[in-house]
Amino acid sequence: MVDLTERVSALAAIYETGTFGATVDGGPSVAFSERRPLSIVHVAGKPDDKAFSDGVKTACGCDLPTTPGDIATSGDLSLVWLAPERWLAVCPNRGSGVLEAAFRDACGDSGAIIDVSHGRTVIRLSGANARTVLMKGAPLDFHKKVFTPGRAAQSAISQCGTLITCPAEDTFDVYVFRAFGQHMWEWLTDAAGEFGYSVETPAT
Amino acid sequence: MSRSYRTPEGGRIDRSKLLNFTFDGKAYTGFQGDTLASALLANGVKLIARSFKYHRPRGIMSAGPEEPCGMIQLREGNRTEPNIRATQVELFDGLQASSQNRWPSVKWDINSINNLFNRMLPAGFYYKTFMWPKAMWMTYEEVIRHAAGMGRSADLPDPDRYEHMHAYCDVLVAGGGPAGLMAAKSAAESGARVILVDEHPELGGHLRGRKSKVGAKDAMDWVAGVRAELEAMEDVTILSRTTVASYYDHNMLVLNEHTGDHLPTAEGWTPRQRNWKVWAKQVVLATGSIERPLVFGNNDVPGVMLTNAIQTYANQYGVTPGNNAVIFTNNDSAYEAVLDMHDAGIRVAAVVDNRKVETAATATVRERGIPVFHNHVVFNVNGNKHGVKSVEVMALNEAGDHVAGSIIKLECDVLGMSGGWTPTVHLFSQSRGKLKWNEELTTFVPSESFQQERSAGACNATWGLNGCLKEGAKAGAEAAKAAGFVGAKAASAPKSDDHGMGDIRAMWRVPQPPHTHLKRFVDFQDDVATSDVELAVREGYTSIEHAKRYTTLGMGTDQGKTSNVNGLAIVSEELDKPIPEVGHTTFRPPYTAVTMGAITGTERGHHFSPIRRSPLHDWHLNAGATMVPAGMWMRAQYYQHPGEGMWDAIYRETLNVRNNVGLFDVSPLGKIDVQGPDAAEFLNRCYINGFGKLAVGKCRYGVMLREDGMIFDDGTTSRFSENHFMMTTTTAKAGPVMQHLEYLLDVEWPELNVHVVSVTEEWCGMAVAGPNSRELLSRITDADVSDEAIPFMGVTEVDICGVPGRIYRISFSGELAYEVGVPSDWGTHVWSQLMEKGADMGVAPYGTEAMGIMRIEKGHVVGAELNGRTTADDLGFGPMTSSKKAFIGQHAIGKPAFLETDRKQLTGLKSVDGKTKIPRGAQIVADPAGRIPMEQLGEVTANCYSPSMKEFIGLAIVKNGRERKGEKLWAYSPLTNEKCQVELVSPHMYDPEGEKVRG
Amino acid sequence: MLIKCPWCGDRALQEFSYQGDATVQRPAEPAEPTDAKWDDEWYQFVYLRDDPKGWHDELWQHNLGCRKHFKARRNTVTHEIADTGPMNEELKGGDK
Ligand SMILES: [Zn+2]
Repeated sequence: MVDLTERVSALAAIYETGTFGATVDGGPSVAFSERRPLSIVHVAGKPDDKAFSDGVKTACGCDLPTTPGDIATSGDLSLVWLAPERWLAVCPNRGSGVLEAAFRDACGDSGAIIDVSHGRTVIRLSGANARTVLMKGAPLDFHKKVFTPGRAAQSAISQCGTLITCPAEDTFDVYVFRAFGQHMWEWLTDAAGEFGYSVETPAT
Repeated sequence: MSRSYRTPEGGRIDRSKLLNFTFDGKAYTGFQGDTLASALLANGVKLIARSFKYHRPRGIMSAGPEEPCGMIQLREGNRTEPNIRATQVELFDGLQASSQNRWPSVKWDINSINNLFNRMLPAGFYYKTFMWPKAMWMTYEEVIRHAAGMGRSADLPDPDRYEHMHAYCDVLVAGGGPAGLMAAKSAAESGARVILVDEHPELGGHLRGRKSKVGAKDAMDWVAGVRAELEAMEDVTILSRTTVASYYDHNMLVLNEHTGDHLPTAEGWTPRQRNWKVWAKQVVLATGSIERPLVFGNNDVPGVMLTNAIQTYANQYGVTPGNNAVIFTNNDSAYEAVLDMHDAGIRVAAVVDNRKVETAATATVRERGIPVFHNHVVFNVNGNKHGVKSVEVMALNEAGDHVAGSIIKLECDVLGMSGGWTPTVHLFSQSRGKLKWNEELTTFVPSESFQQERSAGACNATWGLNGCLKEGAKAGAEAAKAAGFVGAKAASAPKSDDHGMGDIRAMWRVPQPPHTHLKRFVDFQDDVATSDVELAVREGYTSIEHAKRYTTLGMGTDQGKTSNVNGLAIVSEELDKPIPEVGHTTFRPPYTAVTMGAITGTERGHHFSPIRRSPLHDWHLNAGATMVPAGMWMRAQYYQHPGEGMWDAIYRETLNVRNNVGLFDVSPLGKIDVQGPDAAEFLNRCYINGFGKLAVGKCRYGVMLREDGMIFDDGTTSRFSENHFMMTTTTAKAGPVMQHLEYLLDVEWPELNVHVVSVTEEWCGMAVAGPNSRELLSRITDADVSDEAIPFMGVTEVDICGVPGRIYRISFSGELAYEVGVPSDWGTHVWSQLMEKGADMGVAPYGTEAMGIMRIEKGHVVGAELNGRTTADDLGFGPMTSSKKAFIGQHAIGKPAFLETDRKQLTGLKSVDGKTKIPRGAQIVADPAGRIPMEQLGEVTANCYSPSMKEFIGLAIVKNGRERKGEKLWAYSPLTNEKCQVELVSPHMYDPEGEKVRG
Repeated sequence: MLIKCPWCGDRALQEFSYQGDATVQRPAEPAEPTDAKWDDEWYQFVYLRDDPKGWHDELWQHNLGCRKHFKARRNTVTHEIADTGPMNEELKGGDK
């Protein structure tokens, strides 16, 4: 099911594909893109409540990750640990309310499910210097052996609360509240200026 | 006259790269690899600055960050910076510098008259002389500030770029000298993540200024080899031109990286500086040591230098600071320097050594025909702003406390002094490590560590190169082990030269002949002489911390790097107490000054604070809205049409809502999703009024208190199902309310099964307000929007313009109104549809100003009234308060203070003459003509002209206000000298019966 | 400072906010609102806090991380943190 009305990104007014920043030998070493449109659902419940954990598995196909900072995946969906009783389910847009309903139906009263698909801006950075850009902003350990694919952490960049995930080697997704989207985009691309960066077409 | 003080060859400078620079407007040249100090010395410039208090001529004393004298103003215009140490400035082409503390010029300084009257400026002078009469202080201060200037800061915005970095590592090594290099190597070889930090562009520490050998290699070749090895390792980061500025709790260190200071300007994306925060599991401090001056008469004349500085200028920069040197020492380290000076072509007239006995080192200089005077001291320097002319030497008596015999006058143009070495324990001390006095070395040395660190090399009072290499390697391995790399081993280093300091003969004040009163400086930057320290002790400032503040000893920007030990030793002599009993002053971060830009980083200009943008932000901009910050949000203030004034626009927008229909962006209101079996119970406990019986599909206004009974926040909460609510908060309190709810669920009521999630950003909120709002709504949804289907305070989930949304029948304006919520990405779509479908009826957006007027007309409260000092009853919410349940703040509201009859209560105000506007921020008083101070009966919280009622109105919080309706008082603003007679009325000034809202 | 969130592990101070004294107990709801003992308990709870020198059990929130509240035993003189843990667990270490 697709939404009939096109969703407008928080970055709509400033999004421009191309190559920017310093001219560096070997070309830009950071690539940016907005991940959109996405379905994002906040899932809360008690992991030791079988009705809830079974419900989550039914709704999205993967087990609840209970190790802090872990991400479970099932097909194109990721289930990110946020807090002891909170997760974020993220996947390419399934249509308004569809993912939320899947969780509600499967978990019943055992879980608190709320759609936040429109409430987040997700910025993807990849490339050899993506880590360095993030190091300028967040007080996290981004070392290759520490912040590995399949891991996530919440922290702050430029005073904004962020969720940062590492879906693949040298690839990071920065989630911020939608209202901070433009600020975060401007901040991150500015921080990448010295390396040269490209902006790619948005994709999920 | 002008001749070069550059050696014909040698030095770690690139003689093929000639650099032009100016000092005080005069053009000079230097080479790539010079510092400003070495380039000035190479050009024979001796006079660099005037001293802080006495305006005495000062030159270059050191070759490093300890420099107390050679402070300059660097660069011009918007990049100018004062108090820069010439010894730390890498020369670049086009550099412009000027001397400071001088007027009109460094050579003809009018204020050096202070020097002639220096008896007028003893320690504590400021405290004693200028504190009375009080009124004169301002005058004195102005004169002093002018006289004792510390350079000038730029008065234009800083054009440079600054950044922050964050890093974690297993072992951080502070200092890239021999000990630091071996530590980094040992730790890195174990597999640990290592960050090696050094303040110079080139690693090597003191080796840069010496001619040492490591094994068969020149030491600097060995350094280059180790650097290459380290750079090849994946987990090693080498940060040159970087100072470990501060050592904080839990092994968090702040580094100040000078990424662009060595460039003419840091252009484009290159930051000028970067501040790093590093969290290190273990730290190795290899920060080296600093040579101490000796304290004798006129020891501040330009040309009196630390001995190792002369050696460094000769070896590293190929610069001879003089042609004819005398060296005054109390230890062996100066002798190696003498040999290097001699090699560089400097004539050494004599070595004056206060020690009685010759050492092995003595022979090495005697071999070159350099005379050595043992048991002698230099007690005076003759010279002026042109430099040293000669020094006066006398023998010591048997006890060493007086000079004896006849004066030997030695002609020279540079005097090297060496009073021994002080380990650089600043970082160790900042980390809370305890220092211990070592009598033999006459210095404080690291003793007990508090954090995860260890000291190695000269900063641990290990002087010889062999010792430094070994100790560094051991420290690096230990640190790696402690960080979990159990197999770590100390890397081996080739055997090397090993010069020590030998025995030292401490002489904290060099004696002078009877009846002479020469200025013997202890702290050169702050112009503190022995007489000041002596006076402070005589006047009872016997604690070292008091003496420091009274004399300002060690309080300059050099943090007393060259003066601390000498200063406290003199205090201890005056008190006749051993040094450990006197103790030392506290070392505070940063080690060297950090520019404000680096601390600020990117948080300036439009990144000073993040900007929150509503989903309709761009629409507002396109519609010509004037935007106004509200917290982090940007909100549309008003939409001015061509030919309209600001107030025209605001009144037009207001009347369009009152008479027709308007749209207002309410997206910034805080929205919190509340779910769970105990959700209703939770809301009951949070609000003063009940939510248990709120029907599904309805919303209710609620007031939340703090534990102390004052109002915390207000807003409406809607119920979507038995266990699912959505709370709204004021824009300003969205964050604090969320935190409050989380606190209650985590800490106070963990038994409640409730989950709260912020959904502020999920929803684009639009108020559709005015008599035509229902008609407009019916055009954008197929759903029934009749009064029966969506009654006042009803909420329904419907399809709006093809997207799922919610319609709330709530009103802040006092008109028939709705709030439409749709997922944010569709906000612009729905808003545009509202504008389009309402075009024929004249729908118009309104901004925060129009909203503000309408809320005053209706007496609705906002932050001005919810100011943390008002109770529910004060603002008229008393009747809402439930007595059937417990809620936060309930215990407080029965307290006597809450029940007093003269509490200030919300009231409406009307301008009595109908023409005078109610001054904003005014006080409510009975009679503005009365005597000040007069009784303050209340304060105006809001004021406006009401275009609907065509009069000036306002809101106020007035003592017993509800009972005073009809009374005439005055709104009086002494600050702006405005006053207005006001009549107290009900705050519900517009449509008091609320018929329109329910229409 | 580096604070160990019981869930997220060691994190920089700037991700946390101090939320007060973890040793104070919110009094039970009143049986009888005029009870003097109850009154005093509330007075203590709302207005009075100790300012201990040395070890102190504090309440912190990992507000830029998982947003959970937790307890930390911190030395107010040296800033050492002996232990952190969820609200329902006893802290260890320090000289308590
Ligand atoms: Zn956490």
